[in-house]
Amino acid sequence: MTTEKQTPLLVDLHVKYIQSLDTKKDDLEYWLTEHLRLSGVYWGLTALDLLNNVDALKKEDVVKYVISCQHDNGSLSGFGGHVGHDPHLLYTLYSVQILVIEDSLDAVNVDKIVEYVASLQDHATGAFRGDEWGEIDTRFSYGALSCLSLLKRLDAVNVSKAVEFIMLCKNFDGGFGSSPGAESHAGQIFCCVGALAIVNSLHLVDADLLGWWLCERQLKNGGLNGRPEKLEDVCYSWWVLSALSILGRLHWINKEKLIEFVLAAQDPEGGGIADRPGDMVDVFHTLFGIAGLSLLGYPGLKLVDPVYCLPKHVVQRIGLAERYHV
Amino acid sequence: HGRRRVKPSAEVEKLRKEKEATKIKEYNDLVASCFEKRDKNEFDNDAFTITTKILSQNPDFYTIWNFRRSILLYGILKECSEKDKQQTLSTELGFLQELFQLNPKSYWIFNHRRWCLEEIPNPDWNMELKLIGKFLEMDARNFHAWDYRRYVTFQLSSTTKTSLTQTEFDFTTTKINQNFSNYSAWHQRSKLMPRLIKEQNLDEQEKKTLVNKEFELVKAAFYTDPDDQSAWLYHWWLVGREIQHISLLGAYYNPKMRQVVLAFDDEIGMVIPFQVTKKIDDNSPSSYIEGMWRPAGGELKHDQLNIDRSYGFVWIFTFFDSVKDDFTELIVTVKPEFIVPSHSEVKLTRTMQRHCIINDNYNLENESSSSLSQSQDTLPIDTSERIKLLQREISMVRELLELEPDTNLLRELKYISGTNMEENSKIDDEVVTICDHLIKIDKLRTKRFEDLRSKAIFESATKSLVKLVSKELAYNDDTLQYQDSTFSLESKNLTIIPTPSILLYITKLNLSNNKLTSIQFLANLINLKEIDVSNNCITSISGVNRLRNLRYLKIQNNYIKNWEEVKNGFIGWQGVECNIYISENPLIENTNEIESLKIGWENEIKECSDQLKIIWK
Repeated sequence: MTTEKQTPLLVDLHVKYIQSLDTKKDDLEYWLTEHLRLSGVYWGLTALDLLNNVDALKKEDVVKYVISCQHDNGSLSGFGGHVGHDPHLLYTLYSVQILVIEDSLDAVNVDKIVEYVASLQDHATGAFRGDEWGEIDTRFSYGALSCLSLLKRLDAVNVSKAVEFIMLCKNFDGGFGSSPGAESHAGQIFCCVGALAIVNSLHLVDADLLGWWLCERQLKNGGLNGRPEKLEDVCYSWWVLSALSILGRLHWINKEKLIEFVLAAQDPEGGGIADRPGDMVDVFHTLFGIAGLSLLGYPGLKLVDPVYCLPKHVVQRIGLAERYHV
Repeated sequence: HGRRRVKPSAEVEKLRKEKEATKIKEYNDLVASCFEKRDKNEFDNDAFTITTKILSQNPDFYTIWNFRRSILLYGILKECSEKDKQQTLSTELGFLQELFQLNPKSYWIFNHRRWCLEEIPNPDWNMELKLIGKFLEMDARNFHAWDYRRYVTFQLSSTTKTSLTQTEFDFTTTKINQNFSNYSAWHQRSKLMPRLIKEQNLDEQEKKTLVNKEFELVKAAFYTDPDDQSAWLYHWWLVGREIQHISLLGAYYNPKMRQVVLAFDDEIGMVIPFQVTKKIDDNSPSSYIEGMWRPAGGELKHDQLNIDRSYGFVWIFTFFDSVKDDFTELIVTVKPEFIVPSHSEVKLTRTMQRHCIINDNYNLENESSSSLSQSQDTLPIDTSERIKLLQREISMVRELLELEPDTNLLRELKYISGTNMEENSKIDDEVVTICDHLIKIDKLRTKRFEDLRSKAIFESATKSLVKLVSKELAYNDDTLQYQDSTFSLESKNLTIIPTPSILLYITKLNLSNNKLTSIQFLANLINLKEIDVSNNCITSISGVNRLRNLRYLKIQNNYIKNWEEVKNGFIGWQGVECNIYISENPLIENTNEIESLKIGWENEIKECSDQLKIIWK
C-alpha cells in the first residue's frame, strides 16, 4: 500500500468547472448535448449549493432559463430539456428542483405543472409515462412523486396505485427494475426506494436483503458498481449510497475507500469529476461524486437529502419531513 | 461514460476546433430548419429527411424522434395503403437496426422501435426475437435488450396464443451454461420458474424434480466460481427466507402515569390508533377510553394526507384528564390493518388480532401463537420440504467451505442457512463464529457483519428474557415501583441493539465496553433507573430525556466531542435526580479553559433542570 497523500476535494476548481460549462460553444459535443442543458443546470446548481457556492450561477439567469424551457398546453405545463424541446416528466422534475433551490416557485404556474404530471399517470396500472409517447419506467414514478411532493400536491395522483406498480417491479434479490420483470439496477433501486420513502411505504422493502445487495456493489478498489459484474462508476456512489442511507444501512459500505475512489476521479487541472479515475469529467458525475461525498460526511460540504437529491436545507426550508429510515 | 481524459496540446486543440466549426454550423442549421418545419406543422418528406440526418448523428435528441413520429402519423402514413405502410415502417425498422450498431443501449431507439411495431400492419415478432438474440450474444447483460426481449415474447405469445415460458426458460439455461456469472439470466429465470410451475400444473413430484435440477445447476455454478454472486443469491431465493412474525412482547398499565404501554418486537408504524377500552364491571359493556398514542421517545406525527407516520418499538397511550380510572379490565385491540412493519421481511399474520387484557397485576394476558406463513416471493414449496432442503444445502455449503475456506459468500450462505433453521442456541454460536471470520476476510463490509454478529449475540442473550417478560413485572402498590431487574451484555463488541423492546422491564442496564454509536434505542426503555454505556463509540446523548426514573447515566470514555451533544440530550427533563458521568470524552480535553468551561456547563445543565448533575470523574 502506497502512502501517497490523497488529493482533497478541489472545491474551487469544481466551481470554476461548472461555471465554464456554458462556454464550450466551439465544441461539437456542446451542441450534440443540447437536450441535456436543463439537466445540466440542475446537476451543476445542486453541486454548487453543496459546495457552498450556489451563487456561482446567477439566480435571475437560471430562473429565466428554466422558464424558457416551459411548454404551455392549455391547462397543462411541462418542461423540455432545452428551449423548444418537447415536454418530458424528467425535465419537469429538474425544473421544479432548480426553482426550489432558487426559492422561485412563484415564477411559474404550479397548478399547470401538477396537471401535467398527473396527466402522465396510467390509471390502470398506476405507472407513470415519461411523456405523451408512452414510455413506462419506474424512473418516472420517482420523477412524478418527487415533483409533486416538492409542490405539496401528492393529492393529484393515485398514490396507492403508484406504489402497486413499483412493487410489481420488485425482484428476487430485493431490488427493483425499470418495469415488471426487469433486472435490479442501482439507479432504478434509488428511484423506487426514494419514491416509496416519499409516500411512507418503506415497510414494503426488504431492507436487510436489499441493503446487502447494495453493499455488495463495493469493489476492491473502493468504488461502487450498479449491478453484479459491472464496472465501478462514481455515479453509483450516489444511487447506491442514497438508497442505503434511506434504508438506514449506509455504514454497511467502507466509507474511507469510497471517498478515496471519488477523490481520485477528479480532474486536478480543469476541475470536475469523472466516472472513474483517469476518465473525462462531466457535470453529471461531478454532482453525484459531490453528493456521495456529502452523504459520506466529507467535511466542508452541505448535507444532501438522500430522497430528493437536493441540499437538506432546501428540503427543510419547504417544510418536508425527513423521509428515511424508520 | 468511459472516455479517457487526455490533455491535447494547444495546436491539436486549435485544429480540432477548426474541423468542428463547420460541423457545428451544419448541425445547427439542420436543427434550426427542423424546428422551423415542426413549428409550422410541415409533416413532409423534406422534414423526414432532415430528422434522419440529425438522428443518425445524435440518436439521443428525443424531440426529433417525437417530430419524426408526428411526420409519419400526420404526413407520410396518413391516407396510405396498408402495403405502403408496411413498406415504409419496414424501412424504418431497417434504419433503426443501423443506428443500433453504434448505440445498443439507447432508450430512445428502443422506444421508437416499439412504436413502429405497434403501428406496422404485420409485425414480424419472430424476426424481432432473432434480432434481440443477437444483441444478447454481443452483450449478455444488456438490460435494454432483456427488457425488449420480454416485450417481444409477450407480443409473440399473445398473437400466437402459445406460451413461450418453457422456451424462454431454456434460453436462460443456455445463457447460464455459456457463463455462470450471467446475473441477468438468473434474474430472468427467477421470473420464469414460478410461472412454469403454474402453467404446466406440476404435481408435487414434478415440482421436486424441477427444484432439484435448479439446485444442481446452482451447485455447478458454486464449484466453478464460489465468489460469484448470481448463483448464490438465486440459491437463497430458491431455499426461501424465514418470515419473522411480529409479536407483542408485553403490555401493562401504569396507574400513576395513567398510561398503557405496549411493546412490539419490531419498530412498527401506527396507521390507525389502537383502540383502548375499559370495563367497569362484568355486566356493563366496554367503553372507549379517550387518550393519545405516541411512540416512546417521540411524538405522533400526522398530516392531512396521512402520509407521515411515526415508528416505534414501544408505544404509550396516555389517558386524557377527563377519563376516570374506575375500571376492572382494560382492553387494547391491535389488528394487522392498524400497523405496518419496519420492512417487508417482517410480516403480520392474517389472523393476528391481539386483545391485551390488562388484569389486576397490570400484566399482559392472552398471548396467542401465530401460524407460520411463507413469503409470496418464494417458490411454492411447503414447510417440511423446505426444512429438508435447508438441511441438504447446509451440508453442501459445509462441504464446499472445506475446499474454499476463505470465500466470504459461502460463509454468508452458511450464516443464512443457519439463521433459517431456528434450531437451538448452538446455531447462535456458529453464527458468531461465521461473522467473526467474515469480518476478517471482507474488509469492505465489516460493519454489516458486526451488525449481524451483534444481532445474534443479543438474540441469544435475551431468549430467556422474552419468556419471563410477563412474570418479571410486579407493582408494589404503596410506592408504585417496579421490582428491580438487571441486564448485562458488556464487552461483546456490540454495534447495535436490534430489538430494544425486549428490555422494557429492565431497570438496570449494563452495555459497557461495546461498540455502540448511538443510544437512541434507550428511549424505548422507559423503566430504566440505571444505565451504563461507558466505553462505547457514542457521539451524542440522545434518547434519554424522557426516562423519568433514570438515576444515573454512565457514559464515560465515548466519542462525545462537544457540549451540545450532552445538553441537548436532556432537554425537557422531568425525571428524578440524575447523575451524568461523562469523564474521558473528547469534549473534556485538557485545555487551559477547561475548568471555566466546566463551570459554565454545570450552570447550563442546572438551567435545564436542577435534578441533573454532571460528574466529571
